[in-house]
Amino acid sequence: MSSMDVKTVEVSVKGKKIMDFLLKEGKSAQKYVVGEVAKGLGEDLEKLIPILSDLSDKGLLKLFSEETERVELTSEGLLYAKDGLPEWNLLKILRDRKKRIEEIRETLGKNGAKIGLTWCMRNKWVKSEKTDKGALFSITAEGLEVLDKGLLEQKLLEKIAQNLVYLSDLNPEEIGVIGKLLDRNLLKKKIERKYSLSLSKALLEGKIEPILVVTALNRDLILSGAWKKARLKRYNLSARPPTTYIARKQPYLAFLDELKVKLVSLGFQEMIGPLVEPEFWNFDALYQPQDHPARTWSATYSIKKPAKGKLPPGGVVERVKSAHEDGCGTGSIGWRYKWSPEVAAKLMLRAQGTSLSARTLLKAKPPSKYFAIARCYRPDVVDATHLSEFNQVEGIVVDEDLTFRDLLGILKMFAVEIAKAEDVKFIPDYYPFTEPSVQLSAKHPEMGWVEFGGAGIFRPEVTAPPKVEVPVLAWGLGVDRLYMVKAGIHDIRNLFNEDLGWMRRSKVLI
Amino acid sequence: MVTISVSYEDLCNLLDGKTWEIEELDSLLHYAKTEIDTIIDDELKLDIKDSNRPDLWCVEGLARECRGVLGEKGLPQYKVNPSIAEVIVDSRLKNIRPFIGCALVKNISFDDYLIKQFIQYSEKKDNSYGRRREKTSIGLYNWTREGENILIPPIYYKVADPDEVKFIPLGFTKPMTLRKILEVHPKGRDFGHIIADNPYYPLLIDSQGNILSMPPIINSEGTGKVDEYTEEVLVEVTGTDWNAVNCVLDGIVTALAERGGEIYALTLNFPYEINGEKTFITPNLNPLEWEIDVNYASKIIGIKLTPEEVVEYLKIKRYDATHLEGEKIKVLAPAYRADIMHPIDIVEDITIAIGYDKIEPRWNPKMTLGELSFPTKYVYKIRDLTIGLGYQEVLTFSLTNPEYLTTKMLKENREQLIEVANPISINYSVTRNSLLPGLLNFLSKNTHEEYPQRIFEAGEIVQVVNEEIKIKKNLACITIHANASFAEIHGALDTLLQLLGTEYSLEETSHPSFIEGRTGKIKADNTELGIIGEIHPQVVTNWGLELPAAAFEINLGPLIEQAEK
Repeated sequence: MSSMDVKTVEVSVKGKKIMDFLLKEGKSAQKYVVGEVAKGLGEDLEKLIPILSDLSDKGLLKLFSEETERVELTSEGLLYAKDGLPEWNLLKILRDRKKRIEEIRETLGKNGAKIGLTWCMRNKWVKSEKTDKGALFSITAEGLEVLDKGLLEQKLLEKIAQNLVYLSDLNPEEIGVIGKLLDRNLLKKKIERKYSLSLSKALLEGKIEPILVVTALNRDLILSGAWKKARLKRYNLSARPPTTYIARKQPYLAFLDELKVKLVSLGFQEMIGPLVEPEFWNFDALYQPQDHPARTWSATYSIKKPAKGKLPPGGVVERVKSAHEDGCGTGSIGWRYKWSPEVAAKLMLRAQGTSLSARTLLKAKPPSKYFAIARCYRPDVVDATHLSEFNQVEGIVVDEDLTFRDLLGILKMFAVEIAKAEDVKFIPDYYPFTEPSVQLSAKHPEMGWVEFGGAGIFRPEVTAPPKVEVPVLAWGLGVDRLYMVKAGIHDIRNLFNEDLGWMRRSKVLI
Repeated sequence: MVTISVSYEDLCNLLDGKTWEIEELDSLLHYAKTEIDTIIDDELKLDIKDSNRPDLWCVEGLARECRGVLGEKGLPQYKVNPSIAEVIVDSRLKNIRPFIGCALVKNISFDDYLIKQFIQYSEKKDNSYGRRREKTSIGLYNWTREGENILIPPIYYKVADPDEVKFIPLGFTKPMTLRKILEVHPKGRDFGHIIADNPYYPLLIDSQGNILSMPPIINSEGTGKVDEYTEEVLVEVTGTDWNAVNCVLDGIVTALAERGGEIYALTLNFPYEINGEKTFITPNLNPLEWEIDVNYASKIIGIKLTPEEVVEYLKIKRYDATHLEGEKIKVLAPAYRADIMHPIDIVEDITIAIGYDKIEPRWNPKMTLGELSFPTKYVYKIRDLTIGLGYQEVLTFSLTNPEYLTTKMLKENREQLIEVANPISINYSVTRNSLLPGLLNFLSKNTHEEYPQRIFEAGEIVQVVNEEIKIKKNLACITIHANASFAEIHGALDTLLQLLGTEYSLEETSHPSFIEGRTGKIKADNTELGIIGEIHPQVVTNWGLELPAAAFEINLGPLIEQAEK
């Protein structure tokens, strides 16, 4: 026989489990009570109904339901189902010998004794005789018979405790007893829907057959080999997947990381240093006079307490003093004022990354190249185009025979390598610590001409105090705008982005 | 950088009378380190980069500098006529405001624009080069006005009792004492502190008792108000630096000369010596002498120059230059070029005269080994691991609001916060001493985003240890969601430290920002690394958050030191 004429019907794991249970002993046309099926499967009746309804829709079975009366135990009934009815317990203790009322009370309690005696006396299962020591109770022949046969009330209570008992399933004698138990308030009636089912005709005739469809594979299916008989559910591939959030580098920091890699690849060593500096490194060592406007409150953040830091040991402080006062033997006339170590010791938040270059000059040996990405601070009102803290990319090149042409060369290289510039322009500029000084304009493919950097050759008054005897090219690059264009950011505050959603969802920058 | 506003037409006239295209004008101004910022109708806003050359901060000076490129080479020529009056200085000024330079300029016709230009020029010089008038300040006065002699020499630069002498300050109608002027007049309030502590205040007064001004505060309404009826003008600069005073005087006098003014000298009699002399005739427009070496210039610029070329380039930049012998060149710089401190400054001018765009860039450096610093490399690894643990990296400001570090974290103010002395906003007024408040602030702005949220920052914090500033590299991680717990954050810390090879232990501790009994001190060897725990519900609420959070913060310093060994 070809299996071609057997139609397979897809069922879930739960559906398959139910069908397997029903077909356990072969195909049968009998009617199954759903409550029994649920019990047999160890499942909740409520959870079973939707699955059965689905199987019924698929034509595997027929599901019937009718309103029916069921009885349930009251709390007192539940107690008796567990511990026994008082009359039943009384019969048991009177089986072997007569007992006085006190002894009965001792075992059954005062209340139990009263209820037990009432029922047993009324049914003539127990009789009493008068003695000198009071009444003595004993079991009768009818009582013994009940004891042997079992008490129907007790049996029903225990059955109801364990099963769903519908009035429609009981015989007239049992109905009668249920009536008594209802009167004694040991039971209550409950009206509910009663489900039953039978296998469908098509299934019984072998025209259709359930087949397992699996959504999620699991260890059981794999190990038991059940997957072989199963059909793996086909997915709708056009459905949107659930959103996954990954953790990433902060986008601006990731950009700076790549910039560092680039600078390292070009032979630059990284400089690091403190963000709170004595003014000495930020200004004095860079030949900025102590009354320079850049050193005033409006241009530099100073520290309230402690207000002063330590000046470096060795002769460098003396030589910086000399540079300011008389040119430090360089042929310079200097700034010609009385230099104060007190002013130089004042602590401030680093205002320019060049302070790191100033520190580095003390140890730099030619040939060498250095860079730093330094957090710098300026008392600006924070808005879309200003921050009070920002990063500066700065560096120096130290070697014999370096010239202004080399400075232009390095700037052009930066413009091409970092800003992908199509063209460069060099414009005269001014820095207190370099001469000649130059501004680098780069023609960016998207931004057009932008100021991309500033540079110069350190003045002799800067290189003489740390005893550097070769030219030092100093440069700084403005990379923030480059990043902002790349990342589509218009507000500079977003370099320090506070939007988690943007970080989770913004595209990778190549 | 100094920004000035000038008339486009005026600038063109002062250059060569031609109508300049803006782009070409911008390129020309580059020779004077100046850029066009904006142009609206006839008004040009110019950015002058050189903050050490006040001679360029006026339209006359800029045009003079640029005319060198247009063919007017060599030293600008100004005739100084012999002294026609005397200025007598009081000895008591020696410790108050010792220096003064003066000149008289005739044959100048002021109009509204010109008056505004000279006010602008004076203000820029006073504020920037003059360090808000402490170092130098300028005064202009009517010498003659509408055919009338206003000031009668000699002029006395003297001192006066602040409570006895009275005059009407510029812009006012009633006389008041010098002390009152410091209290009441806007300029007195701005600049009064420069002289306020002295027993006597400086005063300029003529032989007839006409008060010119109280330097460096304010002119008198009568003599010190230059207008279109002013015919001959007295220029005066006082200050605390003799060279700067003369530089400023030379700058303003030559600018007036550029407008057709005739310069007359004045004789200054000081009761004290300056560079060994007591009598000076100002303005002294004698050029400044320098000598430079052609080889030196060639070596700096990177182009082999001949002495003839150097002489030619110097003349373009308004120097006079003579080839002496060999590589030596004698250079005469205009008197107003007080910015020159070293031959390197002259070399820059040669470079500018050559033209930066005519110098071929060259880049063939010697091989050097590029390398990241060890802390950066180590922190890179930590950031990678922490991201691997599912924490999003964030970057927050290191300047913050003191409330964030204290009240919001349930910490009392006892811990010493490092305040900036001159904050602009309370939100950026202290340096952070911990990263966690910044992370909580970040979370507080993202309550609309899906949870769980896990974020971290590796950054620098500032603390005071033994009265000294200590900067530390820290790492802080925080997790916030319905089931965030100590166990979760402990798991993250444990994995991280294990992978870094750091043995650590937790010791129960108390911390106001964390829940009692769920807070641990993180220790490695005997060093305290940081703190871990569940965030106190009150702290969670303080930040406007609604879910349990757990966090740790560790100092990476000991780990980096250990690793570097």
